[in-house]
Amino acid sequence: MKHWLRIEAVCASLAIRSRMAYRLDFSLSFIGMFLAHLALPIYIVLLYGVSAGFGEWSIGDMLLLTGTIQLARGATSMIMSGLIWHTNERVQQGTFDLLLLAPVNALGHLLNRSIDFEDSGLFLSGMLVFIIAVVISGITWWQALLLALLASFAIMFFASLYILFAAITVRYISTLRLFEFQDIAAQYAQFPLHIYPSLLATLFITLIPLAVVGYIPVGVVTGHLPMIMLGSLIFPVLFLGFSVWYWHNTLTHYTSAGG
Amino acid sequence: MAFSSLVRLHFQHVITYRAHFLLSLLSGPLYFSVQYFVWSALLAGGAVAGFELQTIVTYFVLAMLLQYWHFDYSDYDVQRFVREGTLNGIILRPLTLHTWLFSKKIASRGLAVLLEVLPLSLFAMAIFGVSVLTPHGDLAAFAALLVIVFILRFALAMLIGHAAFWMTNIHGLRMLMIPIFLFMAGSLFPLNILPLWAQHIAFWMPTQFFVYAPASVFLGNYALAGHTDVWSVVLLGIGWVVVIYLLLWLVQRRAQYKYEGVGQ
Amino acid sequence: MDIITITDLSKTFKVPKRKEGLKSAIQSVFRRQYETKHAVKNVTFRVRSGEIVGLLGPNGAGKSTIIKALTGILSPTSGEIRVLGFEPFSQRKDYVRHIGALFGQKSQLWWDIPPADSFTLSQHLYEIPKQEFERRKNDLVEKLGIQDIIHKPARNLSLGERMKCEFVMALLHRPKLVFLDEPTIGLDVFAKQAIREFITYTNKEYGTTYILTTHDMDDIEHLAHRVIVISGGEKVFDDSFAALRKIAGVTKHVRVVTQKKVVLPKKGVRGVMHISPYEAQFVLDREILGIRDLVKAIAQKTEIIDLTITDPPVETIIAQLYQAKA
Repeated sequence: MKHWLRIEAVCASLAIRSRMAYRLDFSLSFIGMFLAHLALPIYIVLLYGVSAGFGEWSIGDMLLLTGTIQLARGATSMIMSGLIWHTNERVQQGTFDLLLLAPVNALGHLLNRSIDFEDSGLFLSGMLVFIIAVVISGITWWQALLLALLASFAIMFFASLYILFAAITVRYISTLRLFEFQDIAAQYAQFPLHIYPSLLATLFITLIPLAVVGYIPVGVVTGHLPMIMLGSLIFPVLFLGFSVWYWHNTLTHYTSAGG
Repeated sequence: MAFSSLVRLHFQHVITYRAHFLLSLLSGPLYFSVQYFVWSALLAGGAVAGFELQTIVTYFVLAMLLQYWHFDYSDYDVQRFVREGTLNGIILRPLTLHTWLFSKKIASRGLAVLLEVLPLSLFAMAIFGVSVLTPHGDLAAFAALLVIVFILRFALAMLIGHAAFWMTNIHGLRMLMIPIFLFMAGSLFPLNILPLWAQHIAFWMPTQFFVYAPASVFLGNYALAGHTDVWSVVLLGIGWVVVIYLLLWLVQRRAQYKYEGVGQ
Repeated sequence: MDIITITDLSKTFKVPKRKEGLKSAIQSVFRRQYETKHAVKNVTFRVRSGEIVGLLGPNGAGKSTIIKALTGILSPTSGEIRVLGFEPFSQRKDYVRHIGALFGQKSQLWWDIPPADSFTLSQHLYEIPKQEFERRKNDLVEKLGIQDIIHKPARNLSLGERMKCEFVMALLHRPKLVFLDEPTIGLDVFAKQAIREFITYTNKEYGTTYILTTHDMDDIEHLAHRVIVISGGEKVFDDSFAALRKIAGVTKHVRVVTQKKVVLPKKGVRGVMHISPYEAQFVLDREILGIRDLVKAIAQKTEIIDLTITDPPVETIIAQLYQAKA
């Protein structure tokens, strides 16, 4: 782990230096990303302007939901979104093999190489929305802190998605369109589960645990959901376990079939 | 080379990417289903801004299909041509970059109609009972808007792509356009739920043609910042095509002298 | 001492099979058909410590598959591989610490930053102490004469300069064994020369063992102590370069353009591929007639305007090997 962290630090510094080769481009991209991710919260505000909203969930609660999701998504993206870019690029250029020449765990090293700060705009807009939401919803800062801690399960969920997508890239199809599915997951996670048919809602707690990304933590903190719902946080842990297993399976498959 | 054979050539190339197109059969329904659930829940609590469920779901289905219809990658293509120096291959032949990329767009959007638009229309009809085949509004105006947005999106992408003659990387510029599309095109929400002052801005932006204008003309409920006459919207669209092409022409002239013709 | 032992190595792949045309393209989306491809068939060989061994063969012969199996990237379908006392695939993480690899067409450098920065990643990856790292880096950089280059972004370097940096990257952790896949591909004569000298230097100085695959006969001639020829996934030859010469002959492809009608000498010219009054293309057997004598013989009759001498393609050599066997 210590060795991994040291390499992660080296890669982070190299990634920053690489990106700073195109400073103007980075700034534009940062601004674009920051503003683009304000669109969803603004959509929520607009919806509350023209309708009665989503039952018990006030506009403050909804923004808390968005903020938590974006915070978690931004944090995951900075560490991991490169996983898809990087795997995609390697698969297309035929340099995926070279990963296996490093004297470390392949997924660990891929993660090292994937760190990039492209999505820092997303992280910051998440931060902004989160803070505004805490103020509007009237929860205490202690509750906000608890929520931020629970967001680590959301990070776990998004990380699992990235690992699954990277495996799919190696195994089946090399396309950046896989990013869309992370976006879709975030959109579904964005609304209270009661708007979905019960079958789908159950699915979102268990097999594709996107409810833990925001709905359950925010619901519990704001009192819409009972404490016991936190038990469902086991599912993202299982999901992460599954995705790592799938990755290893893919690698075994690759090394015996690829070439 | 005749334009039609160029299109055929590109078609043979893009069909090798069919799996990328087919991913839309998965992502498309997922995108508009979420809007279906959201608006069902909202409408259960009473009427919303004069929308019925059927209308709003059709709107989001159309929004998706329209984006497949005019999707454009020419900006990155121009960047690649400039960066890798492969533009030489175009310059040395009796071709223009514009012809080359426009024929490519026709080929790739032709495939998109086959693999994305048609199957998803059928899907929407079967699952949500939404008919995207029977228009409620002025069909001629809708058709005109389809042509306009196809060309408009292309011209804008070309314009952004030409920035590559001056900047090494246009990714950031492209990212900067995304929030404008999100807020002002109508892909995330119909533009008429915006406050009136924002509707005035949206009306005068070329982005309304990407989703809101064609979709609501199709539904027969176009109303933005008090404007409801669809043919004046069509005229406005033509105006934007002319303006963007004029800008593109100016930029292209300057770009010629800027091009260094070397790889990397 | 043997550091590589390969016994009966075989590797088969399942590759998707697809016919031409739109219909089968659409069909293949739903149902793929596979066929089995035997990339490597029962290959056996050994390599001693300190050797430079060339793997020669046409495209798709199975050279890269052998290299990938040797580096632990691919698992063998059957057979046994021992390298430096490891089983490369199952002990990959520990094993790759001791080897270096360089793939001519695949860069290990970070594109947008100077190679000197990329090198620091190797330092941490292989846990090389700081001082030792600096010493080795300076030594390699100086030997390759790239002191000024390593501080420019990699994307601004020429292919030859970049390749030299790739060598530094591959050798910083002082591997005992280095795999080179087409190390001189696309390089100009001077860069090729510099890289060959560097390989010879590290081989002598540090006893580094090299396994290299190449198309380039000159690489083999100048570097390899031993040549293994691979064709159709099988080993068809394994001996010194001199022995290969003896069997395959010492031929060159010659193209000559002359002022007046060209007259070719009677001896030494093996096959004539093309002849017109002022131009001839043919195969020259250097054992019978040297290049100097050839030029002299032609120049006696007419002035030479242009003369190109190239190596016969690998395919020709392999055809000759098969002929010699039969």
